[in-house]
Amino acid sequence: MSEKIKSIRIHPGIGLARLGNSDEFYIGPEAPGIVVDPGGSGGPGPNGGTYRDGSARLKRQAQRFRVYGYDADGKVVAELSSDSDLVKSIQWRVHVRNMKAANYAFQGAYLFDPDKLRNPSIQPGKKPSERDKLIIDPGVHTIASGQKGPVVMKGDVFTGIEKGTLPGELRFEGFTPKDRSKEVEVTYKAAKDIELGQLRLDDKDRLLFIPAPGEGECVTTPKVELSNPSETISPPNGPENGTNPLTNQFAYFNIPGWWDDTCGGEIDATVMLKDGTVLSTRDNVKSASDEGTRNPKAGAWIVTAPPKYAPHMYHVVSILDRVYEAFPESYPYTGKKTNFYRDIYPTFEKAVHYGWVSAQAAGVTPETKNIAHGPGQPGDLLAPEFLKAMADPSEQSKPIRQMIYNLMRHATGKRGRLVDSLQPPPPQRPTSWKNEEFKETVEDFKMPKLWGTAGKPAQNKELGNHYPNQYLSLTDWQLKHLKNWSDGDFEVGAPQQPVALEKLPLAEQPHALDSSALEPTIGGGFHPGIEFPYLIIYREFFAEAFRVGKDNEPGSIAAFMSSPWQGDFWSCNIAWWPTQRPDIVFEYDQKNQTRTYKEWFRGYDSEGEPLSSTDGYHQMVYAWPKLGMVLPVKGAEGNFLRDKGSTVFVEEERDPTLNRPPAKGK
Amino acid sequence: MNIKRRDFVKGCAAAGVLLLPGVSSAMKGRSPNDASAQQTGSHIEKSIKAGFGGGFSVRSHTQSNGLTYARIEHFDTRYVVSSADLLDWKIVSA
Repeated sequence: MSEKIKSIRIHPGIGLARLGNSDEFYIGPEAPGIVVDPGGSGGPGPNGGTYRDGSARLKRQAQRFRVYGYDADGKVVAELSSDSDLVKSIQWRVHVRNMKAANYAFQGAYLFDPDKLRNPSIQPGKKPSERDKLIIDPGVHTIASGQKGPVVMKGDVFTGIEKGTLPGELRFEGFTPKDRSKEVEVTYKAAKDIELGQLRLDDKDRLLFIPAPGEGECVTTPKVELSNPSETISPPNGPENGTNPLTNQFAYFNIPGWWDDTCGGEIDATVMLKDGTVLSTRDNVKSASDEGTRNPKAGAWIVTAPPKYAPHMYHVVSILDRVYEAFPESYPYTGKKTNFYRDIYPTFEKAVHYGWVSAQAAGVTPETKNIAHGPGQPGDLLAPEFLKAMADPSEQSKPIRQMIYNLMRHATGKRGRLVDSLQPPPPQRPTSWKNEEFKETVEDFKMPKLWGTAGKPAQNKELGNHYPNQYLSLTDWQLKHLKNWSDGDFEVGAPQQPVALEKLPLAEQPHALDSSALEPTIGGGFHPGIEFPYLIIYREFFAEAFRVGKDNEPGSIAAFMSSPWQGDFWSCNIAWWPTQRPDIVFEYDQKNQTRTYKEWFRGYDSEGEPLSSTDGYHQMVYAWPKLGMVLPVKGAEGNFLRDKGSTVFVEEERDPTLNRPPAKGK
Repeated sequence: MNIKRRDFVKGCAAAGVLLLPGVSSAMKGRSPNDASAQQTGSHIEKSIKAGFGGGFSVRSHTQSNGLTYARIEHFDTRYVVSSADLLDWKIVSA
């Protein structure tokens, strides 16, 4: 067998791990549609596991990476683990970094400006990759067969900086400048030994990437608090006519002096076979000690991100959908007839599920009352009468199919692809959106009614901005399936049942790993995103589907995310990504089949003040690991409770300490 | 929730709803120097926001049988809620 193996590749090609403040972790999904159990017992997980440890701390979600051997024709031959008779040992090589503090300021995708940097007074005039004082770089770490303990990757940031000045309009901890229009002098103290993640091996020498504990801090004195100065000082876009990304409407994405412990970077492996063959995902590796060079088509990539608080719900456009949009050839059903249960039904199911985490979808807001698409609402597409009509390809049901299709929004432009309006890609300024092709009237009645990559329409209106894609749109290939379905050109198929990785044929396992890591993610609106920024929509940043391109340094893509992430995570409290960060949560009365709701972000902060719905940027730093999960209710027989065609979701596993003001003096 | 408990809750809710307008009227005519009432109102408002979210507001509140009742609102949704300790709230009527 070993002679057949000509190359190796790691799967998933792009992995995702999620922060948690517990030392305990569980392994993320490894097959499409599978929601993994977080381990433990007596909890609401699929197998009774708990998302919190015994001290109510949120468990981390790790990513497992596996090596597969391929033959000369690119066909999968075997998974190479210590379980294989062929394998002598495996050495993993990982290099992750956090470049957020060194990166360009985020000011919305359409306003990207390569001349605006975060922490602009530190190492000014340099490219992000050259601003080494602002990059958390633990260096290359390895872990190899036989190594039992974890390898912890740590780095420093804001090193060698003593003093600086920051805008007086910022919010400082325990200090209010007398004249807020004047700069404030601050001192810096380097942050040391920041953990970006840990490496471990499972019992078959596969790599486990365990993300960081979700810490973050400001290194200046006085400390800068997360806020949006433009809301109170020279609203709506802050002082200096909104030209300063530290104080304008985008300020909370670019808080100076802050670090967080998310990261991104490359994963490689070298496998020593028992017959002496050395196989590596890196080029020019002849022995285990060779460094070699990165081969992006064989090596993998890791990104760490905030938790997903509704693990059973999927966003209507995921990063997986974006990969298929950028690489249509990678969609496994390309060229095949549209299948209702495979290509259409999941979109509708996702839409209805929003009704458990979004006030708009649930129909509890004045503008959506009695016209929403949550459970029991008139637009509940999972209602039996709807479902029957939708799965009927006959002419009789065509009007309802066409009505639904015509409600769907397309991305602005001739091709209906988000990426077209954002050319050229960073680090160049996008200009294509100014073309006539991308001028549009905002159609706020169309679906999905979630904010888009251009940001909130109301905010843009207030600022006089006329960008395309102010609402989210499905991808071109999702809409193509919907068009086929609308025209009656589809087969019905059967409801899809998730299949665990170990039950899949070997040939299907690599793609199952690639897709399942990206399925439970947010593929828009990218403002800038929640796991991946909008760079993921450009083919230019990939080597091929599911493989990050060679020119991307560790941490360079994740650097486009909010710095730190918590301010943006709080801010996205209405109609952004409620499947990851719920807007509202429900309690359900099983007997009466009624439900009542609360806001998800609620409770007391570290000072004993209520968590705010209008200014909670800084409070999220304290609250995020304590907030509740949104999970399906289990019936008496262990099945998921359903009501009006939808699974019933309620809030569980909220840390009860959030419900009490902290004791004085603690 | 068993039936007895539900009936009890319903009864409390009804009593709360009946009492609320009276209390609301009384609040309108109160002295601006009634610091104690203001403090209570502020405490309840704070507790409701912590218990339900910052977007909820208190329309009125009252006390009965050792419980505090409040009529709260979020968008068009209105609940009557009760609490024995101003920390844990129950929705008694939606």
